[in-house]
Amino acid sequence: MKIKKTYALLLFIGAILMTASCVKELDFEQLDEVVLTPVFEADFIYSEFDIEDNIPQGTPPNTEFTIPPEVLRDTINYDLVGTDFAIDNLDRVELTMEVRNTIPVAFTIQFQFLTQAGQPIGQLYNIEVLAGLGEGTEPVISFSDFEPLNNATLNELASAQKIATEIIVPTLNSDLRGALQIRSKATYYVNYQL
Amino acid sequence: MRILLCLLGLLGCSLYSQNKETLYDFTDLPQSLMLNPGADINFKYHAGVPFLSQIHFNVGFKGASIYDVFADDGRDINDKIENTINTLGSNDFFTLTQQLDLINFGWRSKNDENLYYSGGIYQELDLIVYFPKDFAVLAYQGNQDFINVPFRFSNISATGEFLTVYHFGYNKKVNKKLTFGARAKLYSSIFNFRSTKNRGTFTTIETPQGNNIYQHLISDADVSLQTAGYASLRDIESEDNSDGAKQVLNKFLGRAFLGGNLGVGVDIGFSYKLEDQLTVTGSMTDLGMIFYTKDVETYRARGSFAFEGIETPITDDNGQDVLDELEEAIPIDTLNTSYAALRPLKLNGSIKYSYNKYDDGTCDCNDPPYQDAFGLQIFTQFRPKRPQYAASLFYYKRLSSFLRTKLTYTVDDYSYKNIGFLMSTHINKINFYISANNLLEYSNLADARGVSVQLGFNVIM
Repeated sequence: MKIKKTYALLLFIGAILMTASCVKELDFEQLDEVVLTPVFEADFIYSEFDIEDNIPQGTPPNTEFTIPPEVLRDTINYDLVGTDFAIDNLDRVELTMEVRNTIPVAFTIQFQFLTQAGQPIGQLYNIEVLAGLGEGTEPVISFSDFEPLNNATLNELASAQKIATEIIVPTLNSDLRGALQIRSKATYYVNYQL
Repeated sequence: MRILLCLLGLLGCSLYSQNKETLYDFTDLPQSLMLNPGADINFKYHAGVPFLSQIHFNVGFKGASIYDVFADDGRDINDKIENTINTLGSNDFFTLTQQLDLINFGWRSKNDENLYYSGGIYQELDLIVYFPKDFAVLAYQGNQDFINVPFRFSNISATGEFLTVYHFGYNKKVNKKLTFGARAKLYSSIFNFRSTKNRGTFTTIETPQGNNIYQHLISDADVSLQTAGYASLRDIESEDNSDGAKQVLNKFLGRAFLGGNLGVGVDIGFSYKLEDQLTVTGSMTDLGMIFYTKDVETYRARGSFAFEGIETPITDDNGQDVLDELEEAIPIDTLNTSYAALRPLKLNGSIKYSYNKYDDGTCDCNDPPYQDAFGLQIFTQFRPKRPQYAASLFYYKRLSSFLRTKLTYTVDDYSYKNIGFLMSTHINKINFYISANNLLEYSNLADARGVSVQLGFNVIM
């Protein structure tokens, strides 16, 4: 008799546990709505152009001179915007350039995305650099004003593998002194759906 | 579906460590010897039903619950994930602990009735993964809002062990007051991984006077992942054999039966009657280590690296293959160096006051048992980052010779309202017990930070 009672009690407690315990409404299908939207800041290119290093040897004082274009052009590998990940998962990329100038001359800096074969792709980007106040003064800072590379632009740049940069330098004078410092970053707005 | 979810919840959402507060010092059950080899037991012999004498399965989260993220409450899951990431700290963790008694037996010595021997084999899976807070934030939010804030590699900490344990112990009533016990253990590891004591940081530093706007700095990184039992499994996968699963199973079985990495350990414990009704107990279990010498592979990355962007014009001195430079600065080495790792040591202690001695004539013993007892228990388990603690108040009630129960109230790092209950039936020689804790959370298991269920069958004489 006692045994029966014990089993009845066990059954009762088990039933209580099974019915009292529950899992309130859970929706694992929400996983489909998970979107990672981190924003990453990363350095881009940097450069320094000191006018003194570029005056041809033997140039007399107060003499005009020019710098060969190849000295001021460069091409770097940059295929991040052309990867599948970028096209599929980047909302946009913002490129920011900051140019500090102490040379009392205005410049233009250009850059252009290129295909692997070196063909220009997308628009040509320009930064107008304000003239500086001379060596030893606080640099005059110019910022880029680029439109963000949105998803449509990134699609257009899908075959980009390189970036060509160039500093457009007017005729200079050998008495000029100062430096041009280019600093830049890229801000990547990720939109990654699980 | 509802029942299935309830069962999954019951099995899945349980406690966070190996604290078995209801089983500890429950001397009506032979499983109490596994928590304290010096438990004051009075069996003549016992035999656990093979594979069924103790089933123990826990999954736990410290700091969050499934409900926090997956509740069907109309809120955006991305907001809930972000809130959860912000709430969790790097000391919060996920654990999975599972134990299965394969064999468990014991008998009282014929030569010395104060001596009780016990032994057996059990299988254990023990996993703990600390929440890598800094890198979860980096992945979920990026570094834009965390300029000059270091992301610490020390946040990455996890260990996992799958093993079988062969054990044999003795329990001796030294005198009327003291019972002492010890258990020798032989660990046979099936699979192990551990990544602990990582160090170093990744920081995006703003550099107003630097070459570029930022400097991305990996500083003094030293990150390693030790594995034992993985390399040979990976080779099986790469061979793409149709009987790959069978080979894995054969390897696991071989290692389970002492063919893998071996280790040794001991449990020791005591029970001491301060007075007839007042007893203190203490135990230390899994004091031991496993020596990983076979099938060992360790991956280690060490070094520092600074990235400031790509300098133009490109010259021979300033390259643009950033990843190559990173690999050169912080190479990932694959090592086959043996290592040893301590088992997670567990400490238990209790003080118990027993009363209401009652002999209903059914006890075949010289000293009829007390019907009631209450007291305090403490528990500590050592984990990679810091020990876990718990303290429990308990009340033991022997309702009849058939039915014994124990009620516990536990306070630990995670909960101040953890109520546990154990019920053990003894019908002739057949014993069945079932235990659960965190009973107050049963109204919504998904929101529970922990629920533990243990059950088993024994033959006890």
